[in-house]
Amino acid sequence: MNQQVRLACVSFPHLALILAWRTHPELAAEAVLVGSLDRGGRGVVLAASAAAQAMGAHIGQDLRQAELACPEAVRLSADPIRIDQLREQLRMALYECSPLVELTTDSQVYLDLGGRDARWATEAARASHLGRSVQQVLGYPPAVGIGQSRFVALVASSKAGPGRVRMVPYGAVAEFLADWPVSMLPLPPRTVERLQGFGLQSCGDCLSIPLPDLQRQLGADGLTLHRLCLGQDTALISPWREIPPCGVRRVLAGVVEDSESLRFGAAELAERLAAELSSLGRASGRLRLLLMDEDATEGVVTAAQPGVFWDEITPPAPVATAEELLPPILSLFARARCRALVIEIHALDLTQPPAAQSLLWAVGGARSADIGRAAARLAQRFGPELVWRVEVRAGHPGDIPEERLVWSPG
Amino acid sequence: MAALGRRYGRVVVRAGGNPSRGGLQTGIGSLDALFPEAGLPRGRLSWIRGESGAGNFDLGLALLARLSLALPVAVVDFDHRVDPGDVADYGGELGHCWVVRPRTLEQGWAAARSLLKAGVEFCLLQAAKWPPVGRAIPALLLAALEEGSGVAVMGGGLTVPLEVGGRLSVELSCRRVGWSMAHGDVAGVLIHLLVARSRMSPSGRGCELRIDFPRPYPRTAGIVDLGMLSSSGLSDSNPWTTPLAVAER
Repeated sequence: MNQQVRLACVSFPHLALILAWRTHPELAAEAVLVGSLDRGGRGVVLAASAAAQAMGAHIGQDLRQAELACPEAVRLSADPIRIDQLREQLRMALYECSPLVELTTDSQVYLDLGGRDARWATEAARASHLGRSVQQVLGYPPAVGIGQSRFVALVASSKAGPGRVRMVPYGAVAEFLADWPVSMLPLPPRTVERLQGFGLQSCGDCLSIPLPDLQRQLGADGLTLHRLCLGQDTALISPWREIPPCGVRRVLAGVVEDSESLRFGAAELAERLAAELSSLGRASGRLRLLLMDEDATEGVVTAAQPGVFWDEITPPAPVATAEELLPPILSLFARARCRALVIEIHALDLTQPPAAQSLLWAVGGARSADIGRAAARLAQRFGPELVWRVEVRAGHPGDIPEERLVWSPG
Repeated sequence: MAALGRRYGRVVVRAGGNPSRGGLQTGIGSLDALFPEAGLPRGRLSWIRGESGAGNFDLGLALLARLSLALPVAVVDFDHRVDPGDVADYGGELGHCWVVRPRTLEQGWAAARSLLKAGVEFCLLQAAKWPPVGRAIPALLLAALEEGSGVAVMGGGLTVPLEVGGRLSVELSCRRVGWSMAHGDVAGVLIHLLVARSRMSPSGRGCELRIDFPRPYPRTAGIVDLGMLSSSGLSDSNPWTTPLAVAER
């Protein structure tokens, strides 16, 4: 274990709940459900107060089910714009304490506190400053836990409680985790049941069992359990990084007035946007189409501006490839009612591309990786110009094979 | 038997008949019915022979396109004559298709072997003429087929080297019997496919197919099943097809 790793876990009420309390301070001790719509348009619980959770509601639950579980709860709608603003303020405050910040959820963040910071003499002073900074932004005292791994920091944060800091020094992790119940460990429910069946209720109980015996009984989970009990969680944090804006722009030779002509160039735009997304390694959850005619002024473009057509579409799943991008782009063009001299398509809500997982559902997709590796070995042996993958260029490239096909080494 | 295996490859001598692995169904009833396993024989090497213009080249591409919709396929293009765009035009999925363009004969056979071993289900080896190869090359290909249970089909040529001919399971003869015309254009080719030699079933069975070219009518491109050939050589009519006008027979 690297002695320099010090991670902090900061827990606080959900940002949506904090905003609800700001608007309605009288609800601070009441059961509150903050709902929002998921991608499919279904109402789900975005945040639930402690009182509501005690009655059976939980985050991600269908809103109707949550209402049945706690009928007297006050139901509010989330305001995504205000949540974004608050999240941004929180992020700025956290950057004061560490350059590496992971906004895991809207109620929990991790920071890397490794190394020395000249502004604070001790780790305790730094942690106190961190807690005060978060409280200043949110208006509610957070719980701060510091440890040598994510898991230890999380447990420390849970044990600390609001307005407190709990630091776990090196060498005292096993002792600190000894009374932590096995039911709270990130293990499969069946494994937890077996542990409880053996009479092992806490991490301290599990550490008294030799590792080979744990592995014999639980397999791979035995090793995970042993490491967790020692606080050896090797996962580091994934710091948040700003993603640059992604989009494509096309200036037409002349003003185009019918959407049919616009749709003609959709394939090219989809291909260019896919290349942009590919260079960022992202998929787009929302697409925006901007059409501007000669009257639209340069500079910041708004939807209300004359000569501007502004429309957005949210595909059922994030899109990344040209084939996935084309249908929503065509839908946007079909709705377009404007003269267009400049076309812009912006990719918004960038997320991790789901392509790798969706490939598992494709016929032969799992085998493609094996075949690709075989092709790579052939290329090493005979040179790169032996095995090829071919695709037809999008758009209307004509019949000449050299222009029509895109060849790439297999 | 060990000596035979060493000399001719381990698939030469089998215990108690041919182990069946099922056939790779093409979805073309008459073509599948030519084989006892109701599909192209898996783990084996087959050959569709035919002279230039007989339709075997288009038949190979159309089959490749058809199978690429559901399976990983590959084409080893020894003469660099295959246009993968044709596979797409026949309705194939190029995302499931690997194209090999070897500079030497050995490279092509080695690539086919590696890809079949890696999981390619259908590999078309396409050449207008088949030059001689070493004895080990087809034996190694059969070993790879055994391992991956794919189908290897050689397309083109009127003869194959002795080393390969001895390893073939099925030899299909392709013969053009006419063109199909539409609105004055040649829209496709009518072919007879006969089992000239088979290690698995009696030879002599045949079927009649029509291959509609991607141009000038791309929507209908593909293989149309016109039925099995009866002993008299005339096809049993298939009421489900919509044949275009036949110019000659």
